[in-house]
Amino acid sequence: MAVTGWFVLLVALGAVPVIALDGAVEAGSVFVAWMVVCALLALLDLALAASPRAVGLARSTADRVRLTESAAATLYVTNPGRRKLRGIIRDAWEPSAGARPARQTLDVPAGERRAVTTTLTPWRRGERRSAAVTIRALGPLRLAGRQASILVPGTITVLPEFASRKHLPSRLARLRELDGRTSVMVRGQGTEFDSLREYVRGDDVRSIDWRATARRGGEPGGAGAAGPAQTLMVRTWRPERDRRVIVIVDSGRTAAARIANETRLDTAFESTLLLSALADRAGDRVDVAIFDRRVRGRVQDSRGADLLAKLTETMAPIDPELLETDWSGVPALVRSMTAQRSLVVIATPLESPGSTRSLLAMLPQLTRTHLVLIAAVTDPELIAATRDRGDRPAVYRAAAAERALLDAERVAAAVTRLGGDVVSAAPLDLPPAVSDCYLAYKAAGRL
Amino acid sequence: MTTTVLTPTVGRAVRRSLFWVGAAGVAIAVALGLTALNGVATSTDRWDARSATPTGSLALATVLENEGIAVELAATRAEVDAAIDAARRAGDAVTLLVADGRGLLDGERIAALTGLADRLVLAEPAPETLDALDFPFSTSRLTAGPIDVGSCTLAAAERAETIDGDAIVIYETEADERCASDDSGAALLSQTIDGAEVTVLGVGEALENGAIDRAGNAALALGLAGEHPRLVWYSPSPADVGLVTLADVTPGWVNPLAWTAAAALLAAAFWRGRRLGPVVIENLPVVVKTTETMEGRARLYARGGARLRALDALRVGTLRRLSATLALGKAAGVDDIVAAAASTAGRDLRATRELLVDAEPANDTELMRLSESLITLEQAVARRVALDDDSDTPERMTG
Repeated sequence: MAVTGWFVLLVALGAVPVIALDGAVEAGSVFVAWMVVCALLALLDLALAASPRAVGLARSTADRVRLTESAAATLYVTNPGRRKLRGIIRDAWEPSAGARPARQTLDVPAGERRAVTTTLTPWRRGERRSAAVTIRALGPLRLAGRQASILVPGTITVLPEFASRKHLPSRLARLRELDGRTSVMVRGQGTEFDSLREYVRGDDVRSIDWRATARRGGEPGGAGAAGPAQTLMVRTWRPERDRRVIVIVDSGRTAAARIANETRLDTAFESTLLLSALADRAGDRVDVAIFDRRVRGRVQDSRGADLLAKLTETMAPIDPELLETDWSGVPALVRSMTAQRSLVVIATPLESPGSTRSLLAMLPQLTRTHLVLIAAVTDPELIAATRDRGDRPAVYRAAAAERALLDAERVAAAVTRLGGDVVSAAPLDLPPAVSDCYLAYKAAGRL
Repeated sequence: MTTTVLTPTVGRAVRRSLFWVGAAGVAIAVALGLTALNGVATSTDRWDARSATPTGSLALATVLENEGIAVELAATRAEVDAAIDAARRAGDAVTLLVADGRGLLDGERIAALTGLADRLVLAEPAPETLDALDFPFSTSRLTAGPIDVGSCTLAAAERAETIDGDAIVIYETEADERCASDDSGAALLSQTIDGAEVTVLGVGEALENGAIDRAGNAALALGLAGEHPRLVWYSPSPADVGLVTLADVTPGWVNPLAWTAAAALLAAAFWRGRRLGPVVIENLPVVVKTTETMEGRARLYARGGARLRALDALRVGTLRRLSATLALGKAAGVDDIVAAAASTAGRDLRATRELLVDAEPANDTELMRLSESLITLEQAVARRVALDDDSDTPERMTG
């Protein structure tokens, strides 16, 4: 049950007869009569309105949408009754699904079906759902309407934005430089034997494989009458492939912290996505685990487009838990993922010696067999605070910020002493920084 | 697809709210019952024969009617005349009680009432009014009861013996009969004017519900008002004396118009207030600001006045940055950095060491000065190094 603005206007119009008929009829009874007329008209309109309960509703919503992009959520409204269904419809999505428009007019003739499209532009990662569909069916006089909320389950998975994919082309170009696809065929660290092929002009003479050339046979010197020209064979090299990269994302309480309008967890996800895309193209295997006290998400044994799809889908619903991360479980987790030497990237903040004690205690177990890289987000606000010495509170803030930076540096130094590497950067710079580290390892053959 | 309707049907909504509707009904019934039992105050006028308030006179009027006296209520002079005419036609003697609780009648109008009835009773008239009648040079004052009236010749007063009240009006005037008097005045006056008895009752409280049961008040009131078989109870209304009230000048549609406006407002509230479906609840993740620990520590420093600790933190930061700028490497100690910085910036070594290591700030002003100096030193070194690099580059190229 609901009334419209027209009903309010009708009630207010009662002022006209109350004043105009004054003298002829008693004004009080005119008022009562007018109210009765209004009520009767509203009841009549209510009785003539189509039933919103009988309406058939079906959904067609995109399964997933990348954060900041838009998707259409369509609702098919079937009117099975014999009256025309007109009124307002609202598809009640969660606020952060960014549904527009919030309410739409509805006009479905008897026995027909209409599509109602709501555009979703989510501004938060995770699974968004629609709580209900509310229909307000107005009567032919548009004075009153019947209203019902109907549960039509609808969900959409909002994937991480992967804004750092803009860094991917430049990193892939760097990777190709390492790779044999450019004319780098010198044997060195981080390369492995690829193939033997005939010498063409422009090849480095140092890469000629004399033994293979001899085995191939033929006359040296070329255009002699004794036989066919001697063909020189060269060895080609390519960067090592089929290495393993394991990414452990810390989703504990420290990941809930927001830096520059992005939680640490989101930054970690961005770094993971960029690194995974890059390492996958480079021919390495990528395994990802999101961990605090238990494994919140895990992606293993996937390659190519499947890998990124699985990663984004796994990450989508994960929010930081307000728990202290149990680092002692990480070595076992890594052991369960691989036995061979791998690059283990741990995305966690390095803040103070106190909060990273258990991480530091666990680290030697990993560095014994693996190459460990810790990707930590630093807060640009801390650096800015150290430069601001304007007034008394600002000086104390600068001191506290310096102290925090010093703490972070001490932890980083401790990690380095334990055999790990640290890469730390501001939220937007961390994903490319981690990828650059990976490329540097690859170039140096440390994988 | 199976769908569930969340909104309850009208029947279910009614059934669900049945208890509260019932409870409200019971509450209203109880309230109505209590009102019916206790009566409701319709008017707060003094001596209103229909009012059950302490200053009303419903008690007296009811008792008189039960005793067989025909009590006629009159609000205007015309009604008074009509009632007295009716009594005369019936051949009954009549008492006219002027219960002017709001003091609307002036002397002239009261004087015009003399001679109409067999007895005219005036309840607490103003002394000026008495001047217009045959009571010359009246003044009045108030006193508190009880007053002995047993020696009165007035039959009603004699029966009453004593009258009581908190504010009894004592009139100091000349009269045929003065009763309930103290030294100089009387609360009860009686005089024959134009062949009719005029009684002035200074004990207005004797007529009121609240005080009628005190001492002999009831006897006096009943004796005066019930002397004759008919009583005209004259409580003049403002319109009767030509006064214009707000209700007289407002047209009849004003109140219904206000009700219409209220109804429209109610409808508008329902129109705007009716939600289109339930509010959607969303669980949001906890988000913490990272700078909170830093801010907390800063406040701790400031409150505790940890100036040296704060300055040391600033110094360590400066030393780290200087070491990086001067490319001194990790093995460089504080002394090395101080010496390198002093020589690069062209400053006195002792002063630089004082700034970077030794100085202890005695107050916040000094702390701020030192912190400013640290920044200046850093900038000076950085500028110097940048200049050196620029001037070095061509040499290296040529060399």
